[in-house]
Amino acid sequence: MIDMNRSYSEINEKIKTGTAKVLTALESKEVIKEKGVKYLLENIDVVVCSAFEMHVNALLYLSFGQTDPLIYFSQAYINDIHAYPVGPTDLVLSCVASSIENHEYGGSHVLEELVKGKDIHLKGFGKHLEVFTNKEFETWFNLKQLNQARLILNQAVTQNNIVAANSGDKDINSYMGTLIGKLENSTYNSSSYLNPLINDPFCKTVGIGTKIWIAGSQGFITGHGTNHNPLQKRNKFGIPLATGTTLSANCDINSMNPKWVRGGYLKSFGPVLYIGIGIPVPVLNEEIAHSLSITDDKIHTTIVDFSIPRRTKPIFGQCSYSELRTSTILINNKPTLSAPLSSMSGAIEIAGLIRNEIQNKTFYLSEPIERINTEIEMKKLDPRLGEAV
Amino acid sequence: MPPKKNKKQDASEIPNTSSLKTRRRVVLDFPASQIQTPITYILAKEYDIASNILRAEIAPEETGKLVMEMDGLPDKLDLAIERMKELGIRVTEIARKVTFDMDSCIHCGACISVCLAGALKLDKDYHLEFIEPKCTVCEMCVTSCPVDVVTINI
Repeated sequence: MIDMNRSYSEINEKIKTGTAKVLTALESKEVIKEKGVKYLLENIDVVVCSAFEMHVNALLYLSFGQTDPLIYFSQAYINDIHAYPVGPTDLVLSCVASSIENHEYGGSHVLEELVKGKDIHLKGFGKHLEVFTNKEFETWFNLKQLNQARLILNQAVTQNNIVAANSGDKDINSYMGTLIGKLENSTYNSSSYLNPLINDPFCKTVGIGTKIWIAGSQGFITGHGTNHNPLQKRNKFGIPLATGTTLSANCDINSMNPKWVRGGYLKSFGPVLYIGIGIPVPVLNEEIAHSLSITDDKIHTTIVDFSIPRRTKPIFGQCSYSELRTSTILINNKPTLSAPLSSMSGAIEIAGLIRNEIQNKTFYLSEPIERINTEIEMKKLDPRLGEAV
Repeated sequence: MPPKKNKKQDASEIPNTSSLKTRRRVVLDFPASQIQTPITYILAKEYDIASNILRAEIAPEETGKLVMEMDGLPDKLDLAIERMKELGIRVTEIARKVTFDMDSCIHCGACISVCLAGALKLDKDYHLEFIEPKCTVCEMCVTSCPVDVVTINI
């Protein structure tokens, strides 16, 4: 057999000379279906995976210039949302924090407006120290007036997610949308066969230091993320049956495209962020080519009953994404409407943009400097009273 | 036998709607002279109509505009609208209609999950499709939309 292994530097060299063969995940599935995995391995260098999903666990790090006289923020409000001081003029704004005036407006909306170049209101109070004497300060600012504006996504990419349904009598508003009682509907939130971690389920190509596309800006994977549960039970294709691996990432806000940053609000949950994510997966070897052949019928997930608000909820069983995408699944033999919460059309468009960027030599691949830890057990938080031990 | 049949037919032809409360949405344009008229009080007191004000733009000594829902018995609603017209208030009834701002839509599908009428679905390219004839204007999609692109047309 011919040695078909590629290295990151070989692929980058091909990108430089404009000879790299790049496909989006959607295109790669078509190619594999028509011509097989072997053809992909021999002819394609990069497959671009993407997602345009709902996010929480996101922070905005905003670094302002100093005021005159000097200020050390003790309290600050950005568009009436409480921001947390992390140094004299550095503020952190949670994307899920709500405005005091309007609970449907949150940090994610501030991010969207910042990226659009809009004016943002800042009001702050100073600590009144010996050097920092400014007690109160108010201004309008935009993205260009900041020394640094970074987005920290602590769950930038999620490998699979559950399906939510509700067997109770009353409707429930949750982070999985509105769940109508008596199993009338169910929701799922994953870009499944387009998702980077579904196409690379054991993080063989993506790791700490991998360059990723975040809403048009080039960011980096910084490690595993919130709700990282790599030991989650997997199906025979290596796909976890609920949330498995997650990745955290970090990027500059300045070069983001407003189309791919959207503030949102979910009833009875709060502000959420929709942000476009893309990771090019290098076709390094046969194993990776094989994992890139995953399709919706091989991706399974767990249907969970949200009517019981406990950590461990009852489970109705498993189903595949090809069943979910028919719009009807069977739960307890009852046909139930199934609908997504993440944008597939957005993910497809994003993958196309990144493919173009690679072909235009503006996006190169980076080799991870360290592997993602896939042996960590997910912890629980239980109450304990009394003294510290 | 035949008379019985007739009775049945009559009953099905004319359902007893007069005892069922219905909802109408109206836009009221007030002339300056009618700004002081306590319209919702009159509606409640004299016509047993519950008013839900959706939008109000009334400044003292100027003309004003009120968008509201009126819940009541159909004939009382007719009488009330007649009365308001007599007072010089222009009454425009509005048909409720769901509108999607497709330029702003991210095609996530959250609205599809609550549309039990089946008026919303994704096409083969995963873009949202609104099949308006199927829409029952239940308004579930309005609150379900995370990015606020669904509105009830007024």
